[in-house]
Amino acid sequence: MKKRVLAIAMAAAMTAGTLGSVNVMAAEDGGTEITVWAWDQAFNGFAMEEADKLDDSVTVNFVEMAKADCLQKIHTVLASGVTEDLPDIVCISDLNAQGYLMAYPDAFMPMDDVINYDDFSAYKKEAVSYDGVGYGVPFDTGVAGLFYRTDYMEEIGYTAEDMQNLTWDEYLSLGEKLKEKGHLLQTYNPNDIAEFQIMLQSCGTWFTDEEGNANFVDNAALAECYDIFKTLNESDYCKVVSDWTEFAGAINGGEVACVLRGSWISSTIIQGEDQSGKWAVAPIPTMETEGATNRSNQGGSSWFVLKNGKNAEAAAEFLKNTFAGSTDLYNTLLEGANIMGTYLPASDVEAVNIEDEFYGGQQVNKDLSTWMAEIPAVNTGAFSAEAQSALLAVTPQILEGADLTECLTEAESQFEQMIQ
Amino acid sequence: MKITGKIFRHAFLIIASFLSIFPFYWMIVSATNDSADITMGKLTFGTSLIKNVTNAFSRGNMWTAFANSLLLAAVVTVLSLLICSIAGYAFVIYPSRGKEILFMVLIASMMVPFAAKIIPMFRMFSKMGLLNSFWAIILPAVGTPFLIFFFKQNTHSFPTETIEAARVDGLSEYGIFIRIFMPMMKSTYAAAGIFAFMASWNNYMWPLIVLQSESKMTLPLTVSNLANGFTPDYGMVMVGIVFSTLPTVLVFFLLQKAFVEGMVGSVK
Repeated sequence: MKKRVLAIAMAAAMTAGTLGSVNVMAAEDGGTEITVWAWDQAFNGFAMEEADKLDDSVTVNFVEMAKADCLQKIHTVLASGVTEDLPDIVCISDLNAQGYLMAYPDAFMPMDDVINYDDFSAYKKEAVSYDGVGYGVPFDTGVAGLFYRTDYMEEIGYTAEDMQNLTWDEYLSLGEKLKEKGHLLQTYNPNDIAEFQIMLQSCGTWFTDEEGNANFVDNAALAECYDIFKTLNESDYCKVVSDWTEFAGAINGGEVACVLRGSWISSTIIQGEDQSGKWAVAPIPTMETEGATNRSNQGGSSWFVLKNGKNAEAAAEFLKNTFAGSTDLYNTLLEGANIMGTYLPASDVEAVNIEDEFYGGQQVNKDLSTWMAEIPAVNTGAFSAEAQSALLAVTPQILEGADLTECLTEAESQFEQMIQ
Repeated sequence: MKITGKIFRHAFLIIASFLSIFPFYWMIVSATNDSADITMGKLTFGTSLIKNVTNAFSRGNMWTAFANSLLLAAVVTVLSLLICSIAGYAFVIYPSRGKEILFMVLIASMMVPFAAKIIPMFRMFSKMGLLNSFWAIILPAVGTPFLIFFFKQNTHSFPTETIEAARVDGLSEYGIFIRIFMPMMKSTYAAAGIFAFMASWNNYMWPLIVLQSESKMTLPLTVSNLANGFTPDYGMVMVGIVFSTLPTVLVFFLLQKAFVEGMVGSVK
């Protein structure tokens, strides 16, 4: 009996010891330790690791978590008002940034006095600013491009030059021609209006206006988006997909000739190794709406310093020296992981000129970074997700031919209810 | 007529089992394929298993996370079985004024969604200085209304005469609980053990919020990290998912017989 009691006591002591053990973090190269919360080890993690190498005054402790988890965790910690466990830097996707800045105005460190925002693409500054104050340090771009299969285009007699300045009508007319050759133009998902982001921003407009109100009914660009969406819906030259897996499968499986997305789609495209040399990228098609350009963006994120983090000052200084001050860093990022930033002085670094074999020798990075600098700036506000879900709710009716103005009016009132 | 009935019954069962087994089949097959093959819907075994396993284990701290999850699940299971069974037992055996009301309050607390409790709980554990420690995960998990309810219901079928006889024989109240109640309710403990283990093993939201350092991450968090990024490597993710599913499968099969008995609530 005694033995058994002893054994239990020992087991309990050992468990308590393990549970309570303090985690000693490694501070290899000395300096202040700054904690960073972000997603994607191979992308954001790599970027932080490289930046860490450039600045001896800090050691980066990169805590990786899934994107949704990261955003959720920041919400909880900021809402609770607890400051002891705050990281020093967090990564926030651009479309979510305004929401955080609005909800927790005092949580983030203003960066206007620390970094020079003129060094970044104008659209990106807009994304990380709130009420005229800049908070984030702009990071990667989602500059939009029309990725297309050169071999399929050759079959219908289109050269790279023909693909350069397409209008949407011209682009859609490729569908029929491709269909005759047994190919499809692009994927189409009736429940996903992500392409609207690209189209709207290319016209310098958005789902919401400057004040954050719905901008549906009198938005000519949005009306044109629905025109195009309807055409795609009624066409027989699109591959209908319902999720990411099918979408990526249609690309890697060679079913579609074109993909219109942010530059990050490249990492999915190049997974189809057998298609090396058969892809190229052109500017996106231009819409008819006044002020339309063939430059746009989809996605991207930025770094934010939390004012109440333990080493906030050191974190801000670190970002200033690296992401807002080092062209070498961007060269390494581009070379090592195909990460394209929005830091304008880095637009002529060596790696930008690389001729990409997968894209038939095209200087993809150079083209993308040129377009990146010209993306129209829009205020995406705090409610992009709500606006899109309100629109998505009326999209089936619109596709069935219901009156557009009526549907958009209905969506506007739904949106107002959602954000109240 | 009889034959048609049989055919229908079998057809239904075949479809139902297909629906339950297919996700497992897909998970295992995908663990052996390349990401590109998976996105193109390949449903046969591939040759990339070793590559996926190497990738998954070199990227995340899989073994640390596995050990953390196992430790947490073991501690939570043992503590919650002990505490909840004592509570359930007391609710039935000891006369007490207001215990019905107390029990109603307890059951009502099951209706409060977890999301509503996150922020106050986070503040509470911050004040206690327990953020980023395993205690922050163990403490809220050891006294769950569901398990107390489960033990209470099963205690109803426990023959009270046995307790009276034991008291007459001079056994203490602790002795009765440990030497008579516990052994007789073995199957109830097994069923509750599976619930507690699974709940702890799959616990996601709360560990995500309170754990900070890499060395404390649990398996669901680590697997979730594998799945994110601009270029998710689905094959690698599937290896992670298989790895995290195996223990629950194992525990279930080990305790399956007792689990069924416990659900039926029999005392032999």
